[in-house]
Amino acid sequence: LYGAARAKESKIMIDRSVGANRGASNGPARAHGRAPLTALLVDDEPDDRALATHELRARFEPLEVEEAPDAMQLERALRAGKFDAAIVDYKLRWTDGLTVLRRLKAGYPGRPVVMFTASGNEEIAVEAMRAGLDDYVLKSPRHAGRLADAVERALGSARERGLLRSLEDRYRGFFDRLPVGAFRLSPEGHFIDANPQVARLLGASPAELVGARFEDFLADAAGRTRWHAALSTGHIDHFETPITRTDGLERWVQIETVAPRAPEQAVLFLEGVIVDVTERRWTAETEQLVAEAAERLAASFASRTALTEIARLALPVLGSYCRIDLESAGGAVHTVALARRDASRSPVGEAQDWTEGHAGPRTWPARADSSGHDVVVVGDLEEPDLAGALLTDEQRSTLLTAGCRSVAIVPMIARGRSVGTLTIGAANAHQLTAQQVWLATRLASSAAMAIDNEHLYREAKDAVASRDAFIAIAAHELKTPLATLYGHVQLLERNATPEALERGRAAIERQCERMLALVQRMLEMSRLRVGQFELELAPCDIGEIVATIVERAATLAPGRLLLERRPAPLVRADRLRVEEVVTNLIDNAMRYSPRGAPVEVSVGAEGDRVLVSVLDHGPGIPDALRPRVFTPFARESSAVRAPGLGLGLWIAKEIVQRHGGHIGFRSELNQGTTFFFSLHIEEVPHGADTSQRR
Amino acid sequence: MAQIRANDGDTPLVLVVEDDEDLREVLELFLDSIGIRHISASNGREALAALSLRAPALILLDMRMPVMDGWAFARELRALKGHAIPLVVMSAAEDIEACARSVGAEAHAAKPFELHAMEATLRRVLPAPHLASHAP
Repeated sequence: LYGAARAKESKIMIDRSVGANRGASNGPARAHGRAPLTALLVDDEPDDRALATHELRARFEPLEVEEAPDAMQLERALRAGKFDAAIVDYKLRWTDGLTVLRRLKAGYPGRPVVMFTASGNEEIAVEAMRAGLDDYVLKSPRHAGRLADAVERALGSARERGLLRSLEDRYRGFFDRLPVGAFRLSPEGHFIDANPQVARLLGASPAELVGARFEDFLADAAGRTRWHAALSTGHIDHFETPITRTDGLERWVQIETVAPRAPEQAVLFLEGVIVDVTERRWTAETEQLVAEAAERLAASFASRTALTEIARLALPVLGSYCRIDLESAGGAVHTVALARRDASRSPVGEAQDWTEGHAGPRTWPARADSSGHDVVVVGDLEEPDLAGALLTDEQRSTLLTAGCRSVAIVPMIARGRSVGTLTIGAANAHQLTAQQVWLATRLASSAAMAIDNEHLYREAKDAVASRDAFIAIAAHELKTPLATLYGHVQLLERNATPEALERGRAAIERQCERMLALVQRMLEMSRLRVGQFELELAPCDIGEIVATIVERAATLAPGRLLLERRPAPLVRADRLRVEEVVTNLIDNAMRYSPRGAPVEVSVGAEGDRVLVSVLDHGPGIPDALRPRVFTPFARESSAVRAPGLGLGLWIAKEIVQRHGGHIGFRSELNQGTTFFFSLHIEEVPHGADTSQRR
Repeated sequence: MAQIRANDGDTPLVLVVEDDEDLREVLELFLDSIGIRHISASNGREALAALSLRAPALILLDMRMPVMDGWAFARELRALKGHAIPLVVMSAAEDIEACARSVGAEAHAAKPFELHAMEATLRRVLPAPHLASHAP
């Protein structure tokens, strides 16, 4: 800078030159390529304004000059804001150039300001540059010629700055509005910058993310190891990993860095995109899981192994806990499969079988809800009101102990019948998604279908086996009267005396009756099996029925039957059927009693029932046979081989149960067996038509 | 036939074990008709009791009987008498041959019986009366 003393002198000199040069300002040398300019001249010296105008005219065409010799004019110009660049003197009567500069930069930061001054020093220059001054030119004959250059340069760099700024704005807008997460990470993996999508994906605000480490979001140790390996290469390609959001939810993301780095380049930062691939992975995993489950079920029906496999396969997709409970025919509920994983996300051992002793039957609902057809979802097991309304205390504590916070219990339904439940649980509250519940439902229904298929298959197999057994036994049993009949026929061939003829005829007739009865019973059995079995209910005196049958039987085996008859009220029953039950029980007892040993029959009221019991002094029923006493053909596959169709007890049971009664036995080896049945005593209205079908 | 009758006191005794009363009657009439002495039991236990009183030369044994069946009786018989008394198994079962082998029976007779065949079986299995009585 020049000294202040010389400035006044130069100003005067310039003043003179203004008029002299005015005509030459449009010289041909500068006529081409001149740019237009509207300049604001902040100078209270008219001569200086003229000098500046003169210098600018030589360079800019058309040139418009707005003069601001005082504060009022400056304010007006600032309001209008029409200038492209401002030329400001430092030394003004009403203020100084720095103040003006600051005002200009505050209102129009992008427009260049050039200081054109005779006064000023280095300090002022430095301060002005800091305040955004674009250039300065001394008011001296030697330097004034630079003014136009300075303005032109300042305009150029202002344009560049503006362009840069708008590029930056556009980049920022682009960055923020990208439909995927975009980020810049330090080489160590700290966030330098992240767009709102990254923040949304991770469940944090963009500001929170700056400085945070990405690896802190990784959900598992394996992911962290892979991440470190990827970071060390300075380039991340197709990195897919589960993350845990700040709210605890888990998602899958894929990360790619853009612009691969040349090997010799140092890594300054990693710039890239992050995409939520949870849905994509979900779809793929779902398809795979459903396919694998179907494969397992197809391979072995709904075996325990298959169900356990399914629970284990379902874990990574469905949460951290999965169990399958099945309701058995007797109503007991058994956990047949259980799989869960701990905090380290690895499955805990193999799926365990809880059937024996652990939770025991009946602690789990056979049905997800009372209708057996709805899904129960509990978002937070620790909310006692909600969880308590949907689950039993025992279930809740079982699930909480297993590390579950949210849970869904899905019914397993096949052909409209609930066969059990599939339970999935997650470690955090409200973590199970509708999709997971949907998938659980899908798995549950394919498992239920497999269970049902297996059930149908078993039923069909049993039916075939029992029909085969029936045919074999029927043929076998028919052979005994047939053998007798045929024997008599052959005896008559050998000896046809009148006495022999009469004896033979009677015997043959009796065998025909026996065979007829057998055939009758077989037909009855087949009717019972298909359920074509109607009761004709009427008031019955069970005591009288029993007495009649005992009397009839006693004529065939005199002295063997003892009857104890106590008073018994009327019972609504099908007389013929009850007769059949009593006959079957007495036949059975006679068959198993040693010859000569008595069969003791008793009938009478016991509380609200009429009880009939038949005691024999036979060998007793071995333990192994007890569970099958009332099943058809119980004897066939047993060690105790006795004649008869093996149907009597089964028919008795069917009839008693159809009456809503109870049938059972007590037996002691080598002591004997007592079969008994009881029927409910019902009030029989007098005079009413009591015959009805049921 | 006449031979047996002639040695009435020495004719062999057959034990019939059959739970069906009517069929037992047919067998008894049949044995009468061919002059063979017999005693009867309606199950294995009764048969064992009969054995303690009389010594039959042959046992006609039904297999499926209440109280004590043919298999259990055969085991007891072997324990008591070894193979001294021949068994002829009577059964309506399809597997009568296997059944007979399982109890070490000498012969079997499928129900319903052909009485001619039954007679032939008995004559084959029964010790000849003169051999039985005049053994050295």
